[in-house]
Amino acid sequence: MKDKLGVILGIGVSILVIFTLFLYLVVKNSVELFDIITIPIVAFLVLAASYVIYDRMKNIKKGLPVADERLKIVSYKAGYYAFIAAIWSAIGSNMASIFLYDQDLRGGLVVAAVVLVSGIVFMISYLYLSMKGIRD
Amino acid sequence: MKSKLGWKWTKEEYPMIILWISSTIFLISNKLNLVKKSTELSIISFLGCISIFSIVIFYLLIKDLNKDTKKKLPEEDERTKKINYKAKNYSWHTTYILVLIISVFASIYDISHIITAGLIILSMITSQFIFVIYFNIKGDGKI
Repeated sequence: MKDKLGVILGIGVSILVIFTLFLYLVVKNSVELFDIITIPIVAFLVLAASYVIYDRMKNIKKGLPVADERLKIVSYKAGYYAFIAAIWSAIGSNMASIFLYDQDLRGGLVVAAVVLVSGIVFMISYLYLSMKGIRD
Repeated sequence: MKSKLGWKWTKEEYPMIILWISSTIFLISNKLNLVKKSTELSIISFLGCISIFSIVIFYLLIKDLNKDTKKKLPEEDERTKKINYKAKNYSWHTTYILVLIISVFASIYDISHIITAGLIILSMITSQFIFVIYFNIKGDGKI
Protein backbone atom coordinates (compact mmCIF):
# COMPACT_ATOMS: atom_id res chain seq x y z
CA MET A 1 0.00 0.00 0.00
CA LYS A 2 2.81 2.39 0.96
CA ASP A 3 4.66 1.53 -2.27
CA LYS A 4 1.54 2.08 -4.38
CA LEU A 5 0.92 5.41 -2.69
CA GLY A 6 4.49 6.47 -3.49
CA VAL A 7 4.03 5.56 -7.16
CA ILE A 8 0.68 7.39 -7.37
CA LEU A 9 2.24 10.45 -5.71
CA GLY A 10 5.13 10.32 -8.20
CA ILE A 11 2.71 10.17 -11.15
CA GLY A 12 0.74 13.10 -9.69
CA VAL A 13 3.87 15.25 -9.26
CA SER A 14 5.10 14.40 -12.79
CA ILE A 15 1.72 15.38 -14.32
CA LEU A 16 1.74 18.61 -12.29
CA VAL A 17 5.25 19.51 -13.48
CA ILE A 18 4.36 18.77 -17.14
CA PHE A 19 1.16 20.83 -16.82
CA THR A 20 3.07 23.77 -15.23
CA LEU A 21 5.75 23.59 -17.93
CA PHE A 22 3.05 23.54 -20.64
CA LEU A 23 1.29 26.56 -19.09
CA TYR A 24 4.61 28.42 -18.78
CA LEU A 25 5.40 27.83 -22.46
CA VAL A 26 1.89 28.88 -23.57
CA VAL A 27 1.85 32.09 -21.48
CA LYS A 28 5.43 33.12 -22.30
CA ASN A 29 5.71 35.03 -25.58
CA SER A 30 9.47 35.06 -26.12
CA VAL A 31 12.04 32.38 -25.38
CA GLU A 32 15.08 33.60 -23.40
CA LEU A 33 18.48 32.06 -22.66
CA PHE A 34 17.26 31.07 -19.18
CA ASP A 35 14.39 29.05 -20.77
CA ILE A 36 16.72 27.38 -23.27
CA ILE A 37 18.90 26.14 -20.40
CA THR A 38 16.24 25.21 -17.86
CA ILE A 39 13.44 23.67 -19.96
CA PRO A 40 15.56 20.76 -21.32
CA ILE A 41 16.82 20.06 -17.76
CA VAL A 42 13.25 20.00 -16.38
CA ALA A 43 12.15 17.81 -19.32
CA PHE A 44 15.03 15.40 -18.65
CA LEU A 45 14.15 15.26 -14.93
CA VAL A 46 10.49 14.50 -15.73
CA LEU A 47 11.45 11.81 -18.26
CA ALA A 48 13.93 10.16 -15.88
CA ALA A 49 11.42 10.28 -13.01
CA SER A 50 8.76 8.75 -15.29
CA TYR A 51 11.15 5.93 -16.18
CA VAL A 52 11.82 5.24 -12.47
CA ILE A 53 8.05 5.26 -11.74
CA TYR A 54 7.43 2.92 -14.71
CA ASP A 55 10.12 0.56 -13.42
CA ARG A 56 8.55 0.56 -9.95
CA MET A 57 5.08 -0.04 -11.37
CA LYS A 58 6.42 -3.12 -13.20
CA ASN A 59 7.74 -4.45 -9.87
CA ILE A 60 4.39 -3.84 -8.13
CA LYS A 61 2.50 -5.66 -10.92
CA LYS A 62 4.83 -8.65 -10.52
CA GLY A 63 4.18 -8.63 -6.77
CA LEU A 64 7.81 -7.70 -6.05
CA PRO A 65 8.97 -5.02 -3.61
CA VAL A 66 9.37 -1.58 -5.23
CA ALA A 67 13.09 -1.37 -4.49
CA ASP A 68 15.48 -4.13 -3.43
CA GLU A 69 18.53 -3.72 -1.18
CA ARG A 70 20.78 -2.89 -4.11
CA LEU A 71 18.47 -0.16 -5.43
CA LYS A 72 18.19 1.31 -1.93
CA ILE A 73 21.97 1.63 -1.69
CA VAL A 74 22.06 3.08 -5.22
CA SER A 75 19.45 5.63 -4.16
CA TYR A 76 21.44 6.58 -1.04
CA LYS A 77 24.62 6.98 -3.05
CA ALA A 78 22.86 9.08 -5.71
CA GLY A 79 21.43 11.23 -2.91
CA TYR A 80 24.95 11.65 -1.56
CA TYR A 81 26.19 12.99 -4.91
CA ALA A 82 23.12 15.24 -5.18
CA PHE A 83 23.90 16.58 -1.70
CA ILE A 84 27.43 17.58 -2.76
CA ALA A 85 26.06 19.08 -6.01
CA ALA A 86 23.42 21.08 -4.11
CA ILE A 87 26.00 22.64 -1.81
CA TRP A 88 28.36 23.58 -4.63
CA SER A 89 25.58 24.85 -6.90
CA ALA A 90 24.34 27.14 -4.09
CA ILE A 91 27.73 28.87 -4.09
CA GLY A 92 28.81 28.22 -7.69
CA SER A 93 25.69 29.63 -9.36
CA ASN A 94 26.27 33.10 -7.96
CA MET A 95 30.01 32.98 -8.56
CA ALA A 96 29.39 31.97 -12.19
CA SER A 97 26.90 34.81 -12.58
CA ILE A 98 29.45 37.33 -11.24
CA PHE A 99 32.23 36.04 -13.51
CA LEU A 100 30.08 35.72 -16.64
CA TYR A 101 27.58 38.61 -16.36
CA ASP A 102 29.12 40.78 -13.62
CA GLN A 103 25.92 40.82 -11.58
CA ASP A 104 24.47 39.07 -8.52
CA LEU A 105 21.74 36.47 -8.89
CA ARG A 106 18.33 36.91 -7.32
CA GLY A 107 17.52 34.58 -4.41
CA GLY A 108 14.91 32.79 -6.54
CA LEU A 109 17.48 31.95 -9.21
CA VAL A 110 19.86 30.45 -6.63
CA VAL A 111 16.99 28.21 -5.53
CA ALA A 112 16.32 27.25 -9.16
CA ALA A 113 20.00 26.42 -9.68
CA VAL A 114 20.08 24.20 -6.58
CA VAL A 115 16.89 22.36 -7.55
CA LEU A 116 17.93 21.79 -11.17
CA VAL A 117 21.62 20.96 -10.66
CA SER A 118 21.12 18.63 -7.69
CA GLY A 119 18.06 17.07 -9.36
CA ILE A 120 19.97 16.29 -12.54
CA VAL A 121 22.98 14.94 -10.60
CA PHE A 122 20.67 12.68 -8.58
CA MET A 123 18.90 11.34 -11.66
CA ILE A 124 22.07 10.76 -13.71
CA SER A 125 23.88 9.05 -10.83
CA TYR A 126 20.79 6.96 -9.97
CA LEU A 127 20.39 5.74 -13.56
CA TYR A 128 24.13 5.23 -14.03
CA LEU A 129 24.65 3.35 -10.76
CA SER A 130 21.57 1.16 -11.26
CA MET A 131 22.84 0.17 -14.71
CA LYS A 132 26.55 -0.19 -13.91
CA GLY A 133 26.25 -1.31 -10.28
CA ILE A 134 28.23 -0.11 -7.28
CA ARG A 135 31.67 -1.28 -6.33
CA ASP A 136 31.59 -0.77 -2.54
CA MET B 1 35.17 -0.11 19.28
CA LYS B 2 32.91 2.23 17.40
CA SER B 3 32.99 5.98 17.58
CA LYS B 4 30.08 7.35 19.61
CA LEU B 5 28.83 9.67 16.91
CA GLY B 6 30.24 7.65 14.05
CA TRP B 7 31.31 10.64 11.97
CA LYS B 8 34.25 10.43 9.57
CA TRP B 9 35.26 13.12 7.11
CA THR B 10 35.89 11.82 3.60
CA LYS B 11 38.23 13.49 1.10
CA GLU B 12 35.33 15.01 -0.87
CA GLU B 13 34.11 16.74 2.24
CA TYR B 14 37.21 18.79 3.02
CA PRO B 15 36.34 21.58 0.54
CA MET B 16 32.80 21.47 1.91
CA ILE B 17 34.02 22.02 5.48
CA ILE B 18 36.14 24.97 4.36
CA LEU B 19 33.16 26.32 2.43
CA TRP B 20 30.86 25.87 5.39
CA ILE B 21 33.17 27.58 7.87
CA SER B 22 33.96 30.44 5.48
CA SER B 23 30.27 30.97 4.60
CA THR B 24 29.35 31.00 8.30
CA ILE B 25 32.08 33.57 9.05
CA PHE B 26 31.07 35.53 5.96
CA LEU B 27 27.39 35.59 6.98
CA ILE B 28 28.19 36.73 10.50
CA SER B 29 30.73 39.35 9.42
CA ASN B 30 28.41 40.79 6.75
CA LYS B 31 25.38 40.78 8.98
CA LEU B 32 25.06 44.57 9.14
CA ASN B 33 25.23 44.98 5.37
CA LEU B 34 22.60 42.35 4.79
CA VAL B 35 19.96 43.80 7.09
CA LYS B 36 17.58 45.68 4.85
CA LYS B 37 14.17 44.46 5.92
CA SER B 38 12.62 43.05 9.04
CA THR B 39 12.11 39.75 7.21
CA GLU B 40 15.80 39.51 6.48
CA LEU B 41 16.57 40.30 10.10
CA SER B 42 14.51 37.34 11.27
CA ILE B 43 16.13 35.09 8.65
CA ILE B 44 19.59 36.24 9.76
CA SER B 45 18.66 35.47 13.38
CA PHE B 46 17.57 32.01 12.27
CA LEU B 47 20.82 31.57 10.33
CA GLY B 48 22.77 32.69 13.39
CA CYS B 49 21.02 30.06 15.52
CA ILE B 50 21.81 27.35 12.95
CA SER B 51 25.46 28.54 12.77
CA ILE B 52 25.90 28.41 16.54
CA PHE B 53 24.21 25.01 16.69
CA SER B 54 26.44 23.73 13.85
CA ILE B 55 29.59 25.02 15.55
CA VAL B 56 28.64 23.19 18.76
CA ILE B 57 28.03 19.94 16.86
CA PHE B 58 31.24 20.47 14.88
CA TYR B 59 33.19 20.84 18.13
CA LEU B 60 31.65 17.62 19.47
CA LEU B 61 32.53 15.75 16.28
CA ILE B 62 36.14 16.96 16.32
CA LYS B 63 36.38 15.88 19.96
CA ASP B 64 34.95 12.50 18.97
CA LEU B 65 37.36 12.15 16.03
CA ASN B 66 40.33 12.90 18.26
CA LYS B 67 39.22 10.12 20.59
CA ASP B 68 39.20 7.70 17.61
CA THR B 69 42.65 8.78 16.45
CA LYS B 70 44.09 8.26 19.92
CA LYS B 71 42.63 4.75 19.98
CA LYS B 72 44.10 4.04 16.46
CA LEU B 73 40.71 2.99 15.08
CA PRO B 74 40.21 2.41 11.31
CA GLU B 75 39.33 5.41 9.10
CA GLU B 76 35.82 4.29 8.18
CA ASP B 77 33.92 1.03 8.72
CA GLU B 78 31.07 -0.28 6.53
CA ARG B 79 28.34 0.86 8.88
CA THR B 80 29.71 4.41 9.13
CA LYS B 81 30.02 4.58 5.36
CA LYS B 82 26.41 3.47 4.86
CA ILE B 83 25.18 5.86 7.52
CA ASN B 84 27.04 8.74 5.84
CA TYR B 85 25.40 7.98 2.50
CA LYS B 86 21.98 7.54 4.07
CA ALA B 87 22.22 10.71 6.15
CA LYS B 88 23.30 12.80 3.18
CA ASN B 89 20.50 11.35 1.07
CA TYR B 90 17.92 12.19 3.75
CA SER B 91 19.44 15.63 4.21
CA TRP B 92 19.18 16.31 0.48
CA HIS B 93 15.52 15.32 0.48
CA THR B 94 14.85 17.53 3.51
CA THR B 95 16.57 20.44 1.77
CA TYR B 96 14.45 19.91 -1.35
CA ILE B 97 11.34 20.51 0.77
CA LEU B 98 12.99 23.51 2.46
CA VAL B 99 13.99 24.92 -0.94
CA LEU B 100 10.33 24.93 -2.00
CA ILE B 101 9.48 27.02 1.07
CA ILE B 102 12.47 29.34 0.45
CA SER B 103 11.43 29.81 -3.19
CA VAL B 104 8.03 31.10 -2.04
CA PHE B 105 9.67 33.58 0.37
CA ALA B 106 12.29 34.53 -2.23
CA SER B 107 9.60 35.44 -4.74
CA ILE B 108 7.54 37.44 -2.22
CA TYR B 109 10.26 39.32 -0.30
CA ASP B 110 13.07 39.37 -2.90
CA ILE B 111 15.59 37.72 -0.56
CA SER B 112 19.25 38.23 -1.48
CA HIS B 113 21.33 35.42 -2.96
CA ILE B 114 23.69 35.34 0.03
CA ILE B 115 20.87 34.61 2.47
CA THR B 116 19.30 32.01 0.15
CA ALA B 117 22.59 30.19 -0.47
CA GLY B 118 23.61 30.43 3.19
CA LEU B 119 20.25 29.12 4.35
CA ILE B 120 20.44 26.16 1.97
CA ILE B 121 24.03 25.26 2.90
CA LEU B 122 23.59 25.61 6.64
CA SER B 123 20.32 23.69 6.69
CA MET B 124 21.84 20.88 4.61
CA ILE B 125 24.83 20.49 6.87
CA THR B 126 22.86 20.81 10.08
CA SER B 127 20.25 18.27 8.95
CA GLN B 128 23.08 15.96 7.86
CA PHE B 129 24.64 16.11 11.31
CA ILE B 130 21.27 15.43 12.92
CA PHE B 131 20.62 12.41 10.66
CA VAL B 132 24.13 10.99 11.23
CA ILE B 133 23.72 11.27 14.99
CA TYR B 134 20.16 9.87 14.80
CA PHE B 135 21.15 6.81 12.72
CA ASN B 136 24.12 6.15 14.96
CA ILE B 137 22.04 6.21 18.09
CA LYS B 138 18.95 4.46 16.71
CA GLY B 139 20.81 2.01 14.46
CA ASP B 140 21.14 2.08 10.68
CA GLY B 141 17.86 0.25 10.11
CA LYS B 142 17.21 -1.35 6.73
CA ILE B 143 20.21 -0.11 4.77
